[in-house]
Amino acid sequence: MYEIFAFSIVPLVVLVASIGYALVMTYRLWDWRPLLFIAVLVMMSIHQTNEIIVYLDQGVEAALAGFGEYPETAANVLASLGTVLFLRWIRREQALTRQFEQRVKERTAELESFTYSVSHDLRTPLRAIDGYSKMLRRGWADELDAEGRQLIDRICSSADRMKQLIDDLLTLSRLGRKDMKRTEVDMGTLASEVLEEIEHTYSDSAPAIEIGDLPPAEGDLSMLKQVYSNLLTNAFKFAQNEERPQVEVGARTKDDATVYYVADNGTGFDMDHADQLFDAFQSVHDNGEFEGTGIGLAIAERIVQRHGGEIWAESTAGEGATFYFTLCQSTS
Amino acid sequence: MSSANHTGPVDILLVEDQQYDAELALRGLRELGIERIVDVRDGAAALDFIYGRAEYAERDPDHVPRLILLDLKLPKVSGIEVLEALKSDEKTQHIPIITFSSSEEERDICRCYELGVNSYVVKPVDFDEFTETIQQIGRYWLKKNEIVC
Repeated sequence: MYEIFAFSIVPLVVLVASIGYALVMTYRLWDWRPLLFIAVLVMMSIHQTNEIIVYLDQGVEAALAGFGEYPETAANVLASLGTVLFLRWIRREQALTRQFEQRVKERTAELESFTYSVSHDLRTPLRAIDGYSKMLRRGWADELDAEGRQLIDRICSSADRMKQLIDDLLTLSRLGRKDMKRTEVDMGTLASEVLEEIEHTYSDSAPAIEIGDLPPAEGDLSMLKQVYSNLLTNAFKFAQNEERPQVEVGARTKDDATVYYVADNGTGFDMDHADQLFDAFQSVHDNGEFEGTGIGLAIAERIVQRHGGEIWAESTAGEGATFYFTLCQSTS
Repeated sequence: MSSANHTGPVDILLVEDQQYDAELALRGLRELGIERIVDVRDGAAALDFIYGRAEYAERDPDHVPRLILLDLKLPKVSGIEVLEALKSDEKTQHIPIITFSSSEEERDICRCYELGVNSYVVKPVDFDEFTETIQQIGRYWLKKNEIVC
């Protein structure tokens, strides 16, 4: 009687309890894989049940198979224990991941709210700086000599630059918070529109432009316009110093995905610094050589990433640069 | 720095907590020849002024300003709360209110229009633009726009 209890009943109870636990976990985790463990435990339960039935029918010797009962019972217990421990581990991992994701979301929200508040609080004194220096320049022009006026000009231009920085920071911060409106976007028309707007500011020195065939994409129209605006503004900026400035906008297919690109024949950049390109406020050229706050590419990267795509650049120093980006393919 | 007699008729009630922003606005408006401007520093004072309470107890609440320029970020009572109070009161509903705020946030703009603001203008940082904007507002709402009652 003791043998049946030890080698059949106890293992069966342990197995059934583990199956119960595993079923609950399968439901909680909403995953099919624990069912494989359950299948194994069920097989073992069937075997033990069979042993008990044989015992009730034919007695101990028929039911139990001598020394083999020890490893068999051990296997049952180990399988049950293994299943339970493994499932508990999985559940802990999931809880930790959820906690982590929650914390990341909270931190991001905090950071964006911080950026937003700071930008707005910075604008007020900036308005005062700009306002009062301009009033000084106008109202007291007669009392100031050329140097005095120049000093005030520097105050005003610094205020302008700071305003631009704040605007850029605000745009970057807003990108994380804004809801995306997905529609089908005609990339060709979009690029042409942006080009027209930029060309206006380059009256006579506009580069030669080539637009290839751009397949439509799915995404947020205003955000994608921002990407083209930033890439094309850069392209124009760097190409304009060339004798024959050229800017090319196009797309090519690579492994089923559309890769859009903007290329210029300007100074290019050192590929060693390629990883810095998309950092906010980072410039891979000598400061002051090219205007801008350095956040345009960071904004473009953020937008492309929100669309599930990638952005990168290639360049040969002295020969120009090409910026490539992909957008997530829709489920079509 | 306000020049109006608090008890008399008032053209513009400027509700602005930042001293320099208030000064710049007053300058711009005075250049247009608008003199009867009262400026207050917080939302509570704005409501006290309109209803003739507390330090403005001598005011007749029937004499409402012809235009209210309202900043959103205010101490004590916020701009949104002032807007809500005035637009939900039959006696003050008709007063044109213009939000004049640094905030470009869609949620602030939408909320103000939902509450019935007459116009939402974002405060420019550049001084010339700021002056131009405030003067456009003054010119339109006080000289061109026909104000009921």
